[in-house]
Amino acid sequence: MFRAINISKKFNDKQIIGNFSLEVPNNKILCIVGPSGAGKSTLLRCLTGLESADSGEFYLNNNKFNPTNANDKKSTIGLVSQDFGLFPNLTVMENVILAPQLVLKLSKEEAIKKAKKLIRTLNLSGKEKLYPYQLSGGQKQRVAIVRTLAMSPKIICYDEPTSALDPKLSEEVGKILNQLKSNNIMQIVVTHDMDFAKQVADDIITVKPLP
Amino acid sequence: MDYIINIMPSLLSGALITLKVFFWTLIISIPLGIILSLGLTSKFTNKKMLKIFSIKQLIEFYIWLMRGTPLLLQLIFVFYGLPIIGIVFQRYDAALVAFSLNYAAYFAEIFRGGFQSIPKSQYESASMLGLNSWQTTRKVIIPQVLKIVIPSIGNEVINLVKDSSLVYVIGIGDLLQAGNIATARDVTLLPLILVALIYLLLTALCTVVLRRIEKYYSSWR
Repeated sequence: MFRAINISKKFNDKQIIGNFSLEVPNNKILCIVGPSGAGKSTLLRCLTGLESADSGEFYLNNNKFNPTNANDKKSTIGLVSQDFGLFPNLTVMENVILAPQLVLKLSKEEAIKKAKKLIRTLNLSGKEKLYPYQLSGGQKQRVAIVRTLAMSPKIICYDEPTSALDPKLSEEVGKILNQLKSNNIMQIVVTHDMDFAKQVADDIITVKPLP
Repeated sequence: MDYIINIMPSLLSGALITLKVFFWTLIISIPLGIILSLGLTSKFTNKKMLKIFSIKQLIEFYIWLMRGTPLLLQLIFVFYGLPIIGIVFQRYDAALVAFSLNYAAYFAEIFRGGFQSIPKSQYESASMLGLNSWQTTRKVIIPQVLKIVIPSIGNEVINLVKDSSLVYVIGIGDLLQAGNIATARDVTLLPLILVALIYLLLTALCTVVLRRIEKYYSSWR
């Protein structure tokens, strides 16, 4: 179980998040929905350590951890960002095996073996040698998910995963998220797409802009 | 034809000096330019030393100095000026120091533009995957920056071929110097025409190499 307790964040004296708490049980998907400017993305950035929260605590299976600490974050939390964040200079396979080799210290063979399995699972076989610009939006999204999964994170966060996709592809992404509900992975989805949230969520939290 | 065959060895030996200055300047100034540009774009170099100036301000001053004064003047200063304070260089070393310092400043500005055009999300993705700063810079950022800056670097490389002729001012016999000597001695413009052809050949060679590099980087966008 992942718990974030009393998270607060201010930017230039403007309170964006105030004492926000959430919890995600293993194998569950939590959707955070709300209008633009409600602080959804900021909350996700705090959860993933891309911003440091002004206050609050994070627990993974009752162990406290600090998402801004690189060691705590390693293989704990992964992010699939809105623009996918794929590295344009690397092929699909290189994108997927880069971090397992450099961070998890897997050999190239081990990293490729793991990547191939994930690539097959997410229906990307045959795309290994392509560069990101040669992929469609949906394929990029799946590569981003494969790349995150290759690091074996316990929590996967998604920032607006359907914003660049048409309804059919959104449904496909929803199926993939449901398919990942195993191996004790916890998933947190930030979205303004209520239909998508209803499709995938085990629990939904609505956030509103602070006054 | 006999005359051309006669003067060719001296022109070619001058061209060799030109090539040596060109080659070593690139080898030194490109990595130095990258390091300086990292200093310009990094948040760590903003910290003031002795509460007076930051490393970033120091680099900015260096770039202003190098780009704000003629390379010819810098050459003269390094060879004739520095010995006054006890720093003595041989002619060829002085040329390399002046050229490398000057070109590194231009390369630093080119690379700074390249680094600044990489979206923040690339750094964030790398950080989320657990890559450290060095791994991110080496594997993700530098290849993307190189692709962006190659056309501008190409301009500077072509300029360097021609700028190398400035070494005559500190008494180094380069290609142009060899042509000048032959022209003055034999009262004919032919040596200078040959010099022009050799320069054109060298810049054509650079252009071909640069095109190849651009093609290599065009496999991705």
